[in-house]
Amino acid sequence: MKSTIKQRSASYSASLSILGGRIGSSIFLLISGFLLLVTFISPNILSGARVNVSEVFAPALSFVSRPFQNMADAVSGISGKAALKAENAKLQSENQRLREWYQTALMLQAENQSLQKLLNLKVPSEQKYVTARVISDSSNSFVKTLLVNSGYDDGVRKNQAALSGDGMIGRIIESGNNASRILLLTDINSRIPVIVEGTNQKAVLAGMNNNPPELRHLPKDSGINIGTRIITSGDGGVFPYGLPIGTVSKSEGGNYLIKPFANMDRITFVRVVDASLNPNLIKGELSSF
Amino acid sequence: MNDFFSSENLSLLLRLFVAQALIFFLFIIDLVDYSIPISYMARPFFTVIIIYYWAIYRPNLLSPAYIFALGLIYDLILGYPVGIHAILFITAQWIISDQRLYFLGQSFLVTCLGFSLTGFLVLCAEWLFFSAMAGSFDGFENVFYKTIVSSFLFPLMTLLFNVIYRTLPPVSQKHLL
Repeated sequence: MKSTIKQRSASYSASLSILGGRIGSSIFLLISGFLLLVTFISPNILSGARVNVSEVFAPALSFVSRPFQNMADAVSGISGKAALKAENAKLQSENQRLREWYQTALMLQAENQSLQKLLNLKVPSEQKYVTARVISDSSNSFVKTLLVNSGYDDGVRKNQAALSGDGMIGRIIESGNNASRILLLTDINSRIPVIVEGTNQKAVLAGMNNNPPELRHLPKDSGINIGTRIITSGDGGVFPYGLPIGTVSKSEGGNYLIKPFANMDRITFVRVVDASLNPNLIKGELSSF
Repeated sequence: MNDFFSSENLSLLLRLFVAQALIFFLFIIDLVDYSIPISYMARPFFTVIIIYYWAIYRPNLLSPAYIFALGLIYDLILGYPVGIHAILFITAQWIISDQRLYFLGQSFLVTCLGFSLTGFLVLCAEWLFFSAMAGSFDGFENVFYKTIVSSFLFPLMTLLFNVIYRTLPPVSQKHLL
């Protein structure tokens, strides 16, 4: 008798536990669904929460990501030793050429400054850079963003341009006190006003997630050559003029695909451009992506 | 009060803490930058491994509220639409918890195959959602790569979890779980 009661009680508590689990799961599924709906209706409503959670987890992410980065550095150091000799020779010849270019640049700079003075031209203010380390990478097939360990306290603000050593990689879309999120220019939501160097043709660079970004809003028969450089146009006053982005790599049915200068798969450090913008161009808060 | 701080309880709390710390550490690994080129194509999904293992062997360790919080943090940190991973994780845990008695009676190979299927389905659902959002259904091969990498890691993770599992108290001591 006693054992039957025990068995019944055990079976009752087990079913109650499963029921409780199911009820709990159902409730949290409903809440998740509601949150997802809210995010779709108003994508910015939870941006504050994103920033705060990223801030809280930034030290842990930074701590855990460090061994991976050290490991990657070590691996690239070992595998790179064989290529170092060839690279050294290449760099030496490149350095020789750059020295000649440096002299030319100095001459042109002096000439440019004197002409600017003559024309009384208003020169854009100098850019400052904030260097930050990537602590989280959500770059998968669908979303291309990076989380870096610098934020508002370091001078990082929303909509500032982010560069790697080679060229522009994206822009800041969220900035907390000690962490910020970068939307890569390969993300499907990224739109950057650009100019085709040489032709002065203006266009918008649109991210395509898995495929290379493409130029949009170009006039038909724009006749852009493969290998032409693409830089930021500075239109809209969000990004400074002249940040290098990439080169035209392919032309498909009138669409021009761009190969970014920066290797998007290998970004460890980023430079955020802190450019003082023309206040006449900015009226109020810019909408997010 | 004195009972609570007894050596037995403290040891139990310490063991639970180690289990939770390992879960948290693996969850954080899912969020960090690997600094390896094209790692986004084939990185393991540790959170699904965690959910699958503990849903079978100790469902009380990861409550729906806990899974919900993990999903929410995942989406908030990685910049995904908030709630999508909470839905995927809770649904996965729910289904596996329902089938746990079946898995408990099966060989390790079946458990591994069950994980591969679960991981594949979670990744498929994720791919379908994001592809529908982006309006382009490409990159499905990444689902396979991630499933394969996660499936290879699952037996190793199981070894680690088994060590933790053996230290945990039997399910009857629910008051401390």
